[in-house]
Amino acid sequence: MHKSNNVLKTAAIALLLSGCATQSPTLSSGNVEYGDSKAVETLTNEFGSTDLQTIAESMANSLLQSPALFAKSRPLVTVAEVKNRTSEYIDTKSITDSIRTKIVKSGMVRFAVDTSAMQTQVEELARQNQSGLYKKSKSKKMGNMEGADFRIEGTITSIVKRAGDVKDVYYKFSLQLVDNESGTMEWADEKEIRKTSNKSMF
Amino acid sequence: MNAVKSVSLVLALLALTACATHQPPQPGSINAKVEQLSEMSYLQVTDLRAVKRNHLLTVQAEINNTDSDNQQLYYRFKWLDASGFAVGGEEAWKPVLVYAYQKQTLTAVAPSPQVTDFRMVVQSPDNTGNLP
Repeated sequence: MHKSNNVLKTAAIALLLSGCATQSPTLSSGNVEYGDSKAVETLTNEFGSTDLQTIAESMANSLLQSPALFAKSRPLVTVAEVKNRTSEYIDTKSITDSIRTKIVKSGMVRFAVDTSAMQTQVEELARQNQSGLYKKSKSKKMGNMEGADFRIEGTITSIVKRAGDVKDVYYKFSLQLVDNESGTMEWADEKEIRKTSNKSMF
Repeated sequence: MNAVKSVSLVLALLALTACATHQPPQPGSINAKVEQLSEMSYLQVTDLRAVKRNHLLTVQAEINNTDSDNQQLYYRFKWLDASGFAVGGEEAWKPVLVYAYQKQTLTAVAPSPQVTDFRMVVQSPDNTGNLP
């Protein structure tokens, strides 16, 4: 009788314990965890994710408020180069991609293929029209591409200063919208970022 | 006498529970649009206005630092459509330095013409002091 009581008690405790311990659907070594991709990152004062996100957001917001861009309904825009004139490696294509994504998602602007995607566009048209594999009535015709009304181009520059343990980095991202036909600049804006780090403990 | 005592006790209890109840913010007030991740003592959203410009909702917020020290603010906006659904995914958190006693103006533009409403989410890390 005493033995069966003990067995029951152990079973009850086991049941209770298994009931409390919730298992997450993860397989982890314990050293890696997912964080917030939108968090403010201040690990170092080099160009980081927060800089990229704030530049893209600020530029897309400003561009969507530009009256020149919306003189025509859903204008066609292309992205030219953003020159990196800083002392560090920055993927400027990634910044312009983010700006373009935000503007496209507004549904108010259309984008034409830029120079980097032109090769793929030409190859696709050639494949449909010249390979002999596609029905004539179903293939996309050559000679129907639309020229962009505007192009977006810009520069990113930096000024780095050091004084003792203090390092100050100033970034300036300039973007402009140029009318492709007239060559006139229709909109321009800048985003400035200052980051200061201090190595000293006190 | 005992009845009077219990009535006053009930009234006192009622008064206390009324005080303890968290009043929902008045519709149209700043608090209805601002979500504080922790109660901010020194930084206050003192003005909030929204207008449609070029089909896009444009918001301007005024942040007032009532402290003699500079304060760091982190903020982002949530954009909502007419049905209350989030539009455009999550925004990045943006850092802003607000100088002592400064009134800082922040502006934001909705990502799409579908946006009709917004929430401003704010957080300030060194902001645990008492109200002045």
